Parts: sequence; structure tokens; C-alpha cells
Amino acid sequence: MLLTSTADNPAWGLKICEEADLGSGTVYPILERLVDAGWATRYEESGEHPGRPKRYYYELTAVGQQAAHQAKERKPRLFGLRPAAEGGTA
Amino acid sequence: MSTDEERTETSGAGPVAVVAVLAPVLSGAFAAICLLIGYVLRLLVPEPMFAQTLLTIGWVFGGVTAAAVVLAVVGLLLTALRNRPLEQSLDPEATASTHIQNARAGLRTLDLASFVAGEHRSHLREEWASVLAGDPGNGIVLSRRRRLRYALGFLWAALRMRLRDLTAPLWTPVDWLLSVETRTHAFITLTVGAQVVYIEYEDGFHALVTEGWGWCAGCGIALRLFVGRLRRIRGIELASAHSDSNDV
Repeated sequence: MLLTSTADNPAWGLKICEEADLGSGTVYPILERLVDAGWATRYEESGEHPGRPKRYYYELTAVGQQAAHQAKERKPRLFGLRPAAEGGTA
Repeated sequence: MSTDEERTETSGAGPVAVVAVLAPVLSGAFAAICLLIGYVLRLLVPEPMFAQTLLTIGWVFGGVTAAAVVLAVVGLLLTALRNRPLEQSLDPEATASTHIQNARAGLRTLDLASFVAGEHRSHLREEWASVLAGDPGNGIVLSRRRRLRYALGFLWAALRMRLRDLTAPLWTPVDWLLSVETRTHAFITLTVGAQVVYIEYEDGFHALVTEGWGWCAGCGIALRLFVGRLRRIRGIELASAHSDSNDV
């Protein structure tokens, strides 16, 4: 979801929840962990937003994109036997 | 209506709501600690007298936790239901604007979730309010039920975040062990080795090679799978720590 977001169509909470079909109770702890780990950044909506609260957008950092691509290229693990140093499951 | 105005209408989570959330968490934690210590003490020989007392206290607080959870859920549902007529009566003109109406629904639950998340996550209140407002421009208009589901999800997320804050120090030694493969191997080897020594000491070498080896092998495999599962759970932290160490 974060990988496919663009500057014109950035990812934010509701969009992530709806497109990933995950609850807000699942998505937000993950987003916080990604931001804390430096894999994603959060920034405020800068434009006008009449009649509704300000949105906060998320985008992957370079480190996060690299980690996401590595995770996608990784072979499926068997019972979690691969060491995290060679690629965690984040 | 601006967000600031909305915020003043619901001036934070009330004390009853705070108690409704914190009571089950605190009593549950206390019950778990009492039961854990109580059952560990029962393993000792001779069994300390206060082990049974601790267990009784633990089960009593377990019951209190269950009752508090039920009361909290009922309270949250009643609060959410009560919000609907309140919101409509506050500003009749707002009914013309669906996204404003959506943003105001479930604000009490939102306040509670924001309180539980902590002051250092104050941005989440506005962020979550924007989620409840939906995205009518892109065809996402949340029904009352979905708004309530999102609001309860925020409460769950806030609890998970706060729990993560509290348990973060406890993970430090576990992460240290999991982050390097040799440490993990050493831990498993030492554990299985201790089991081998114990069986050999208690039952003799014959019991070890005829029956005990199965237990030792099972223990080793179970530990390896458990470590793999823990790594999966701690994936982001471990991978970020690994990349940090590479940067240094």
C-alpha cells in the first residue's frame, strides 16, 4: 500500500485501512512501528481542507523502500527458520 | 465547523470513561502477576503459605477484570449510541454536510483513545478525526456502524501502543538474544544441555539415551520454532536495529 502511494495520491489512515482491508486497531500500531524504525515518515496535509480535520500522510523512506523490496524478493520462510539478520519479516 | 471548535465541544475523555478503560487493564495486570507468582511459588518445596493467598487474590482480580471488561464494553456502546442524537441536536445545519457529521460521530470514543495513547501522541486525535470524517471526494462515506468500528479500533490501537511503551524495556534482552544467530544457538544449546545434565543426574545415563533424548530433541526443536516466531513478531525492531548497526 505504501509502496504504491504517490505524491498526488498519498497514503493516509483511512485509505490504508480500506485498501488493505485491515482495521484501524491493526494499521496504526504498524504505522507507528514503521515510523519509529525510520522506515516511514508522517507529514501533515499542507493544503486547504475546509470542513474536515487535517489529514496525516505516510510515505516510505529510502530505507523503508529498500527493506520492502528485499521482503518482496525474499523466498517464503519455513516455520520462521531463517535468521532475521538475513531478512526479518517486517 | 473547525476542528478546534469540535474539540471544545467534547472537552476530553471523562473520568468515568478513563476508569472504564484503565480498570480492566490494571486489574488484569495485577491478576496476572498474582497468578504467575502464586503458581511459581506452588512449585517450591515446601510450598510457602502465602502462595494460596496470592492465587486467591489473583482469581478474585481475574473476576474483577472480567466484570470491568463487560462494563467497559457496555459503557462504550452506550456512549456511542448517546452521541448520535447529541450530535444532530448540536448543529442542525451540519446535516447538510455529511463529512462534517461523520467527523463529529464517535468523538467521545476518540477522546478516550487519544487519552489512552498518551500526550506524546497528541497528533493522533486530529489524525483519527480525519479518518472518521471519511473521504466523500473518493466515494468513502462511513456509515454510523463503520465509524463506531473505526473509533473502537482507535481505542484498541491506543491500548496496543501504550502496552508497547510499557513492555519495550522487557524486550531489550530478548532482542539482544534474537538479533545474532550465534547468541540464539548458544541459548538453545545451553537450555538443551542443561536438560541433558539434569536427566543424567536425576535418572542416570541409561534413562537419558533410552527416553530422555526425545525430550531433549523436542525441547530443542520447540525452542527453535519459538525463536523463529519471536523473530517474526519482533521483525521491524530487529531489522531496524540491524541496519543501524550496519550504518555505524
